[in-house]
Parts: sequence; C-alpha cells; structure tokens
Amino acid sequence: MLMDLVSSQFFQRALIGGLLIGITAPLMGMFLVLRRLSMIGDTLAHVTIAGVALGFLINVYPLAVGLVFALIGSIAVEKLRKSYKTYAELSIAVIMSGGVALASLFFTLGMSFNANVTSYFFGSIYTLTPADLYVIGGVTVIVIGFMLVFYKEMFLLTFDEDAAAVNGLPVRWLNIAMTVLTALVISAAIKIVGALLVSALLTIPVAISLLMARSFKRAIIVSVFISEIAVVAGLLVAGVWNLAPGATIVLLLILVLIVTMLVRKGVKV
Amino acid sequence: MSDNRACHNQVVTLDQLNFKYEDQHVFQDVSFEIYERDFVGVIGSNGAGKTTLMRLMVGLLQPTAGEVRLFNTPIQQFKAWERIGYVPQKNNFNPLFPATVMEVVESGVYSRSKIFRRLTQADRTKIEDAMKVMRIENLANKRIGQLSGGQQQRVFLARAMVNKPELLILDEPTVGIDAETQRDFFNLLQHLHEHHNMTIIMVSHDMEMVNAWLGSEPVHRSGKFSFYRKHSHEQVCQEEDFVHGVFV
Repeated sequence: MLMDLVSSQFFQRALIGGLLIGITAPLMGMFLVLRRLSMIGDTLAHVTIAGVALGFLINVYPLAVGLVFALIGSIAVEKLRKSYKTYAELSIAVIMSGGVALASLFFTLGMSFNANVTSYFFGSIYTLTPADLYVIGGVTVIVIGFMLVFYKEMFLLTFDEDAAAVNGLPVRWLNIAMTVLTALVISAAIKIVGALLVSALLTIPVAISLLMARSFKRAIIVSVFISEIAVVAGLLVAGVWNLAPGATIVLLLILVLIVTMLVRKGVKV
Repeated sequence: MSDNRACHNQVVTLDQLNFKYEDQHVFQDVSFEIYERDFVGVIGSNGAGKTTLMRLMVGLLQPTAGEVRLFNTPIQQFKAWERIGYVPQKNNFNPLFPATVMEVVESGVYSRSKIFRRLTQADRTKIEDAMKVMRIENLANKRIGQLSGGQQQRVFLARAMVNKPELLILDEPTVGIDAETQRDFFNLLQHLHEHHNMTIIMVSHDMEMVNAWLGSEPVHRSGKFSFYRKHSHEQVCQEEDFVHGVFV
C-alpha cells in the first residue's frame, strides 16, 4: 500500500511541493519570529484567501491573484507599521480583518465556488497541479537566492535594526524585500497546508530550533531539517491512514515541539 | 591652549538642535561641539531625551530643527559610517536570540560596501583583533544570551570597534551591570581613549560615575543636558605647538 502511494503521481507532486515549502517557510519564519512578527503569516494568509476567492470569481488562476493580494497586503502592513511605530501590531490586526472582510464579500458574490475555496482554507496538497509546482519552485528559487546573497545583511537587520542602519545598510529596502518574500512564500504554501495552518509551517520549526541551536546559522539549518522531516512523515502518515495531510504535518510539528521541550526540561533537571 | 587644527578637528557638531515627538518638545536649541580625542559624558535626567540625542547623532532620527554634522559633513550627506562605532542601549537586545559572540562581532563589518561580497581575510583579522582587545576570544562560540551583562557589553563594544572607528558613541553602556564590572568597563574605555586615540561620547544617568571619570564640573549645559569633557590630547597639542615653534 505504501509503495502504491509513493509511486502515485499525486503523491510525488505533493512530496515535491511539500519539500520545497519545507525549505522556504521556516527560512522566512526565522526572520519573522525573531523580529516578533509571527502573526504576519496569518494576516497575509487571510489576505491571500481574498485573492484566491476573487480569482475564482473572475476565472483567473486563483493562486496568482492570491499572490498579488498577498504582495499588496505585505506592503500595506509595512506602511502601517511605519505609521503606528508604537503600536506596530495594529497593522497586522487591520490588514487581517480587511482580508477576512474581502474574502467574505467575494464568497457571497460567488456561492458556487465555495467548495473550491475551502481547499485553500485547509490545504489540499494532493491536488497540486504542475502549474502550482512551477509557482512553488519559482518562489523557492527566489527565496533561497535572496538569502544566499543577503544572508549577512538579514542577520544584522534581524539582530539589531539600529546597528544595521548605522552601518549604512539599506534597511528600508531589506524590510520591504522581507515582507514581499513572506507574501510569496505564504501564497505558495497556502495550497499545501491551507490558510488556517500556514503560519504553523512558518513558526513551529523555528520555535523548535530556538530550543536547540546556539548560533543563527545552525538555527536556520535545524528549522529547515525539522520542517522537511515533518513534511515527509506527515505526507506518509496522512496517505496511509487517509488523514488531512496539512493538518497531519502541523500536528507532527507540534508533537516534535512538545517532545523537544520535555527533553530540554529533563536535561535541565 | 592654542587652536591647533591637528588636535581640534570637530568630530560632532550639534547646532541649535530641536526635537519634537507628537507635538511635544523633547528638547530645544541644544548646541555643542565634540573634538577629536575628546571623552564626552552627556548627563540628563530621565526623560531629558538622552537616547533621542544619541539617535540623532547617528542619523536614526531626524531633528525637527537644527543640524548635526559628523566630521564637518552635514549628517544627510555623511556616508563614511565605518568611522563611527555605535553601542545602543542593551535593553533593545533579545537575550533569546540564537547568535554566537562571533556572529555578533562579525556583524560589525557588514556595511553597504560589503553587500554582494564575502568577508575577506582582512575582515577576519579585524574581527579577531577587536575580540582580543575586548578579551572575549574565549567566548567566540557562546550564545550571546548566556553571557553576563558585563560580557555582553564587551561583545557589543567589540562589534562597534571592528572597523577601528574614530568615534565611539555609547548609550547608557553600564545599565544593569554591577559596580566592579562598571569600573572594568570604564578602564577599558579609558584605554581606548588614551591608547587608540578614540573620540568617545557616552550618555549616562549616573552622575557619580561621570564625575569620577570626567570631572565634577560640566563644561557646558544646553537644554536639559550637561556635557562633561576630558581631553587626552592637551599634552599632545602642547608638544605639537612646541615642535611647531622650534622648526618653523
């Protein structure tokens, strides 16, 4: 049964998509979590859903419209964050409610596609099309390329934004690039784990790695490694027992987090 | 003392500086000049705007009116940021951040000119030198959050020192550090000032400490700030004047 599953085309597509997102989500998540922007994942996921709903409504590739919405949402978050410096989290609340409101509006306008949109809420990794894989592959190349080129600058920006500015780094552009890349990753990940769980893929592997790693580089490597293990194991478990794959991946990650916390507590005692 | 340019290049000029935050004046008309090889202590009560003044000096904030000049260049046109080392207040730092001492010190060399470039052997040497001067080589692989307050402060100072800056700006560097470690830290600053010819500006709320190190009388008062100054170069100027007098 396992061999049948592994050799099936839908599973292979799911595995490729999952492995790619397994790299990019924690990679971006590391910078978001350490800058206390974990909630941005949820916000942009809801905005993406509004775009996906519009895509169905106007009959345009939904993930592409979702991606455009996520990009606009990410820039709006950055703008609002600047306007409300002391209450930066306000930007996240405002944009998230805007996304949910727009999504509801588009749902009421197009009652017939609600079932399709549901798959974007909860994820449907087994229905990944070749076009979806191209989008996810493209996003992965962009994110990894950016991180390879700007790794040291992103480290300083995340560790100490003031020092980055005093050193003369283009802080504003790096911040914009980070939010745009986050939007890309979220819109690409949404079909895999769904809008409701996308921030889990961004944050839980990072939460686990923060308990284990001493250096920044190692924290990134550990988070990506854990995320990849969870994707592969989650897909296999979900395939064999006929469970929801996105939810299985996320629950496995939570299980790893709990075990890591218990082991660390045990080690300390 | 004579006005010898070699000894008296202006490093920071605060000219009629005003800063407002949401229609509230934080301070008004603050003026002061800091010269090469000065050790300046800026004292102000809580809420006087000490951190704001430091952030204006490094271009993180823009004044509402007035001007900041660095090395005689208006700050908007100033590009040579490697000439300045900045140690921000320690409470901005997240102790859970997964970074080793080496990673933090290394980040001192990341600048606009290093974008798209790998660190060179010369950069590595600069990083090792800064760690040696701060006596933190043995902590290189430790996670920064695991260090004591005094050790962390040395790490941040090492990061600011990597480019061998001419000007070092420190914002409340000894907050949360015990008295003995504070003394050690000041000895270190004193050493940098006297033996590395560094100009140092330090903000503090600890009047006693500043009095002990920089004298009991401020050289200038402006707005809510008192400026204390110690020269390391008076003797140098006199010697240079002497040489100038003999040979010219």
